[in-house]
Amino acid sequence: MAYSVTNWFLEQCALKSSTPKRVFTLAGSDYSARVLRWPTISREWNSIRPVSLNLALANEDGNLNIFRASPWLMRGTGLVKIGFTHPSSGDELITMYEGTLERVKYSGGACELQFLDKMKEFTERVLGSSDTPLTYTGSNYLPSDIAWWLCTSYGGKSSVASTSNPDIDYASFSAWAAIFSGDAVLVQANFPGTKLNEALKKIGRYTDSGIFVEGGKITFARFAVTNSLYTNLDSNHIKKLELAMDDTSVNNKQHVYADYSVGSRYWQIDAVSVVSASVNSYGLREFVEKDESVWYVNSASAVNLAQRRTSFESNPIEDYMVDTTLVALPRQLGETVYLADPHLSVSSGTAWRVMKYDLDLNTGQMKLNVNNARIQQPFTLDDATLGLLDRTYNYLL
Amino acid sequence: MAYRLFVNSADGVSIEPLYEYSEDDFKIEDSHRVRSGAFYRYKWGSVQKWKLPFTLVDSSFKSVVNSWFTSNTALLFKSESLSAVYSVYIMNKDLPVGQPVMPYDSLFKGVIELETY
Repeated sequence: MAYSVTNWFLEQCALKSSTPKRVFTLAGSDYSARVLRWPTISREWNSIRPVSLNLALANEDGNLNIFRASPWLMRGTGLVKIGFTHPSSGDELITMYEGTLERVKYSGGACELQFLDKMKEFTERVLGSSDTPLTYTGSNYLPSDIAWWLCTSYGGKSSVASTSNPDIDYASFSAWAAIFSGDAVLVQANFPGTKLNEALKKIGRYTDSGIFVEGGKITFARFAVTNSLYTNLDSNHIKKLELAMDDTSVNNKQHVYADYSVGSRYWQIDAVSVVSASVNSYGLREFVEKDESVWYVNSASAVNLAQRRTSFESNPIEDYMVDTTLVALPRQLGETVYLADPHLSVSSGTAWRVMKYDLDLNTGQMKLNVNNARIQQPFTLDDATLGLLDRTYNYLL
Repeated sequence: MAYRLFVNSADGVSIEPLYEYSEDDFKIEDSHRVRSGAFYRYKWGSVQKWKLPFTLVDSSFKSVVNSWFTSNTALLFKSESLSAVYSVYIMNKDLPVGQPVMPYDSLFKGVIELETY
């Protein structure tokens, strides 16, 4: 879910001289004044692994020896926030990280803490076993339903089906699930002792979706049209810009195997999507998607993925690595950046999706990885953003 | 110009610094020069710092200040003519008061370096 911030906050992010505020709390207590070095927070759209955060706190006075005396305090939740102090309304902060304390190390006068976010439990739990696998073969299922059951029934996350769910970004989940129910994309699954995060990774890969933690909640996304939340970056904000294009990323013929028979161990359907123009330009680049854990049950579902892959990947992906300032602080994974670079002839009218970022809270530098691998830019009449001929007319939107 | 360095109302010393008295506050900030030449600077915080040279203090002053230095005592600091009070530590590398003022063997001089925390 996007950050809920005021225009004043966005203005502060874009200022050339500002006084950002960083806050670190553990189990509700503010330890900001003890932080020796603020961490870098890194997130990626499809890694499906817990994001760790390391913090060193000053402990010369021994006040943080509490973890030795009371080890159960190690289960405390740590929050790292950044923002600005409004002259009249006080602090306006966004939560950049929420995690559970996992490791404490006392070294010299410092107390070093390591946190892991909500994906952590997914790496600790196993689904079924080789002799009694966890199966979803009795019927046909939406992949989103299986993901929900894995997160809630097996991952221990809240199953509250509303936006008040404390673990899952229910708004993003609902939108994600609606894509599959709208297109009648159906799967079955078989997990014979699969780690939960691996199972989610397979669902993510098999549906070409991102599963990540933002705002302290597990977020689901199947990127398509341009996200309406964006930031403009040009030479007034970019410290360094690199473009990488990898010819091996071209995929112009995608096979998706479907209707897997667990007993016979073979797939009975081979759904194919080909983009002839790309084949003519780059030669045949064939890829096969097959999985014995999650599979589509019919051709229509399988070709949905095949067409999505060839639609996005039939040309080399333009991958930009951008070093910038806190001007990009409000952007989350999946949101949009408009780049302008005269040297590369990149015009500000082209949208790029944030697929990865590293926020250095120590210096205020942000490294963004943005690309066009999963983005469509249709013109939609009357749409607040997609209906504009110039989508960059007001960067504070 | 006089200053008060103290733990509480009962436990403190008054300092009348010499002309070399200085305030050396510094900022904690990071800066970024972007490609257009624009310069971004983020101020994360600031530290107030004072250097107070003095002379002709007695052995009681010496003993109190040096014991605060040795024990890393958290102190309060204020100008006697202003109301602002700062939480400070003595940041000297060596004993603040150690050098006798010749020819007296019971009067001393030194420098106290303070920083807010």
